[in-house]
Amino acid sequence: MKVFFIGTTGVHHTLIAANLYIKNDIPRNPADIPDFADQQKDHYGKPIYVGRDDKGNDVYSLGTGKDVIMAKKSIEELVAVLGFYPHDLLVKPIKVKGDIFFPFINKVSSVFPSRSIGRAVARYLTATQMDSITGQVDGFKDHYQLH
Amino acid sequence: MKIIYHCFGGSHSSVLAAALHLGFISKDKLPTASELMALPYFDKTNNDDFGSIRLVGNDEYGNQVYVLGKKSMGNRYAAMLEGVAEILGARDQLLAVNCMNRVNWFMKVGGFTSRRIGAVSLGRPVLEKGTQDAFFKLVNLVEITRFKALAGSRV
Repeated sequence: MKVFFIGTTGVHHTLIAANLYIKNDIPRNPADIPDFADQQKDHYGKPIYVGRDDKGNDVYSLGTGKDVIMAKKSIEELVAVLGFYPHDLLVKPIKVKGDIFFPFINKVSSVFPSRSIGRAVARYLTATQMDSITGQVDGFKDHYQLH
Repeated sequence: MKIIYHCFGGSHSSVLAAALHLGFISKDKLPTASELMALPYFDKTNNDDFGSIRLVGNDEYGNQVYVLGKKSMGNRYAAMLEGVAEILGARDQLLAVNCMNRVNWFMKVGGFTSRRIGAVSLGRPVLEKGTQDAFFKLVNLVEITRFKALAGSRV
């Protein structure tokens, strides 16, 4: 089975969620997570491989742009169109306050490359959104009994 | 192979491309307004259809042809779909074709007026003119796609 955490970008809150899902723990500073705020990886629009959970499921982070729910629908329908079952690929949207601005932040980072922009987003997420992300990941685990 | 033509609303250029691919409409002459309106899904979608992958038919080689409306997501959406297919081990089964680079302003304005604003009688004539202007560009896109599908199925 494949597990996708999707959001407006694939290198911020969704990446934290994917790491929380796999390890139940993340570095104190999310900016230290591999690929965090890497706008080039997000730019391509392809899923970013994060790792494997203890049940052997491959876990990915994916940035879909502003309409996350539409992207979820398309991915789930594509899974069926390609002849797979719904449980072959689970999609969990991660929503945090302010995530609508993350694609714009990525664009700014592509013009003015600076690690400080990524660190600022990491600080914001750590200070205000971590409980929300943890809750969404736990809810997902509960729903699919992935503990 | 699954061929997905995608555009903003999945209602005009992608539908026409799919219809051309499947031979529902002749590629040799401009379609009339009534021929366009007779196409399945053409200028008939609503907001619930965004993101939905809708089957239009099967071509003579057994390829399934779909349409999809992805709003203003650009090529990112194709990359996303191809990425998912790759992870599922089915990359060679999918051809995602962006129709937006063959769309002109008449189509955009007419389509927006008809579908988003709901002023069908106002938007549809503009849309029909734009569709006829873009017709042979879409024919070209479909020819390229059919060639790619044929080449892909032989690999």
